[in-house]
Amino acid sequence: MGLVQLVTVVFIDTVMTDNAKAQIYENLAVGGNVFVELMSRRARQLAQMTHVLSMDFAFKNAIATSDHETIISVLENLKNRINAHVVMLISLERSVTANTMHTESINDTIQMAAALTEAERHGEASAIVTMDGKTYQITIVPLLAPDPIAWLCTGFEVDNRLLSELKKLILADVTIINMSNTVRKPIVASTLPLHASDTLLKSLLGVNAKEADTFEVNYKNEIYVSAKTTLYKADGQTIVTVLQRSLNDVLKPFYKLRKILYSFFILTLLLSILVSFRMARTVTRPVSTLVEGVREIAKGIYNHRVEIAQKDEIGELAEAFNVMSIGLEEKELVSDLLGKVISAPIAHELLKKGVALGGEQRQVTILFADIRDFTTISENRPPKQILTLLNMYITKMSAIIERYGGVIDKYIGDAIMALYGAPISSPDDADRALNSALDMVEALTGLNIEIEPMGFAPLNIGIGINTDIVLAGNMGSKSRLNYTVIGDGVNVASRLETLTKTAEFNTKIIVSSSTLDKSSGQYLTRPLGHVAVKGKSDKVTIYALDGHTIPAALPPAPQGNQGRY
Amino acid sequence: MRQNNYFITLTVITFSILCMFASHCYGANLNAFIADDQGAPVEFAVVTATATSSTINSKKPADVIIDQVDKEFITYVTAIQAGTTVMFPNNDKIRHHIYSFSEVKKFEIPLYPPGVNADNKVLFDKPGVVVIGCNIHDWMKAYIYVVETPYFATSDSKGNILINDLPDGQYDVAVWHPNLAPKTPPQTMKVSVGDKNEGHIKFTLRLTQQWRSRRAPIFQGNALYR
Repeated sequence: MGLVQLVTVVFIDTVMTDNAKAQIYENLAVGGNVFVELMSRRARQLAQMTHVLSMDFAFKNAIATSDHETIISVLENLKNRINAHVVMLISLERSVTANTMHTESINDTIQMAAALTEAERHGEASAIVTMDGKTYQITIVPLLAPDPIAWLCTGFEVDNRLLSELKKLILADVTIINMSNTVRKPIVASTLPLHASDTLLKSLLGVNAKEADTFEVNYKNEIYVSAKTTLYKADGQTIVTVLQRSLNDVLKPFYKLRKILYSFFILTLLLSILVSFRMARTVTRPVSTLVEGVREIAKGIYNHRVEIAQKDEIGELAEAFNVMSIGLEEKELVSDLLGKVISAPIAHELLKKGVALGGEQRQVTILFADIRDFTTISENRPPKQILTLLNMYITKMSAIIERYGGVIDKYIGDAIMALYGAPISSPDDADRALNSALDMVEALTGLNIEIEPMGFAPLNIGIGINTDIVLAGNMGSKSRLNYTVIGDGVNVASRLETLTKTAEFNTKIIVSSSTLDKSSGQYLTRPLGHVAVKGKSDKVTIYALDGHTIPAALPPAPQGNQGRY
Repeated sequence: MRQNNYFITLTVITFSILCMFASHCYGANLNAFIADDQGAPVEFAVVTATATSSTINSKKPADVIIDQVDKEFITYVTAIQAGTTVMFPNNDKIRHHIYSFSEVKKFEIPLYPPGVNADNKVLFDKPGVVVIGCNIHDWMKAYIYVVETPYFATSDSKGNILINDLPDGQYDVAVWHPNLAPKTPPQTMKVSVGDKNEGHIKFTLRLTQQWRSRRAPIFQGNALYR
């Protein structure tokens, strides 16, 4: 905006200056013509005056006396009558027989051949001649008696006074310059101060100005636009008129306008800078801060906040952004925490379906694992060591359970309760539970090697697995709840785990028939008979799980094993 | 008022002299035709015939009148024999003031009233050109051509000149016109007349326009610088 304005101002400046110059040149050209015309008219007036003088009979009479002193005296008289500066009598043979400037001499010659020729042709002539270092506008008329007997010549000096009178008419400074090389003082007259006219002369004598009719003169840091007009050219001398006007004078009104324009320009420039700053502060910067904030959020950095203290729409937006990021951060925190506290699939399910009390009947395979005689193991050991041991154990076991898609329902001391089929069921829930158990038993060997340097005796675990329809869902109060399963099937699984350590069975994994029935059956099992479980009217058929069958070599396990009973 | 140049060429183109007989013949006429270089007839040219053998009868020439009518001299060119008295009657209703600054005869008759004015007479005793003017009417101008010989005549508007009763003999015939420049040398030709045969001669003159003030009361100059 500022640039456009600057360009406009500079453009206007240039155009105005050029315009002013063009106007001056035009005026000067007109002025030059007017000046020449004025001089021409003056010459005609002078010629008329001279002509009237020439008609004086007494004057003719005096001429007829041929007495030089009388004639000079008469010429002086005529000179005074018209306030001329010089009067001359020139013979028909072109010699000056009487001259009021040179009263003693006769037969002077003056360089006015061209003017005399003109007079001979037209009966009247005017010229500009230099005599004794002064320049005169002269007019020549014949002295008729009644035929021509001589030429009467009157001269009027071209001086500063004359030019200052003409200056009033043409409204420009006038300088008359004799361009002839022979003249000692080229400046004939001028309305300019002496130094200025000297400067003008130097410019005029410059190569360019000699040819051009218009040129510029720089005098005292002011530009004078000048125009040259030839005033008189004859008898080997050229006299030019140079009209001048100060560019500043013409531009004065414009300078005022320009001052206003520039002030306006600077004002608006400052204003626009101010507005830009304000815009940057209130719009651009906050917006980029917000964009930066959104990018941070996109990267997952929810604790990012924007600080924009503005009470406008952008301020509101920033506030909303901060509220949003706080919300996001909290949600992330909850989600993170949920993942740690509860199993990831449950957390996911909860987030998806919403946290609400209530449950559903579904078939779930429940796995209970427990370290045998953990109390004995932990005896006389610092709690910290025990916790370390427990964490190592649980970490290892949980990893296996999760690898098989099992959901850790809860840890109860050294016991682990895991679910397969809740909250999401799949056809191989039973297999995944069985495989988990086998892997857990195998993994224990590795763990025992790891804990041996710590001075712990090898751990033994018992695992019970049962499949049943149970109630799964969020249980507890509105303010605090748990996703879990309840039902007889859970108790059965717990009971089966307990059975592993009985002297009767003393095995690592006990599985109920309901689980085996739902598995692929490719396991090595031993039927352990039927056991009564508290709260269940029917006895539960249980098996010991020892390992995998070699696929293709062995027949499907469950039926076969069952058949042994 | 104009005066273009001083060159006046006087050329004799043709002449015929038919008078081949006895020189004692008496009363012959000399005819002359004056034309300019364009062939146009020239008025106010004066032709003089001066006998080579001086057998001049010295009878006193008669008075001549140069009238002033309607602020003009009548006539513009008057040729007279030296010794002639010229009368200047005034036939206008206003006064005139005639003068001459010519070397041949300087005179002045200050403002005189209309009428015959018996005193307004001037004797021209020397040959030459006298230009007369009126002090109060700048344009009034007339020439008096004073000659020695009694044999002369002025051309009419058709350029014809007739000199009557010219005694037989040899003559130097010359022509003059006010528009001839003073510096132009007089051109003459020798002519024999006699036995009542008429001489026929022709002069061709190159003339320039003569200076003359205008009758217009306001003087109009020419443009001077352009």
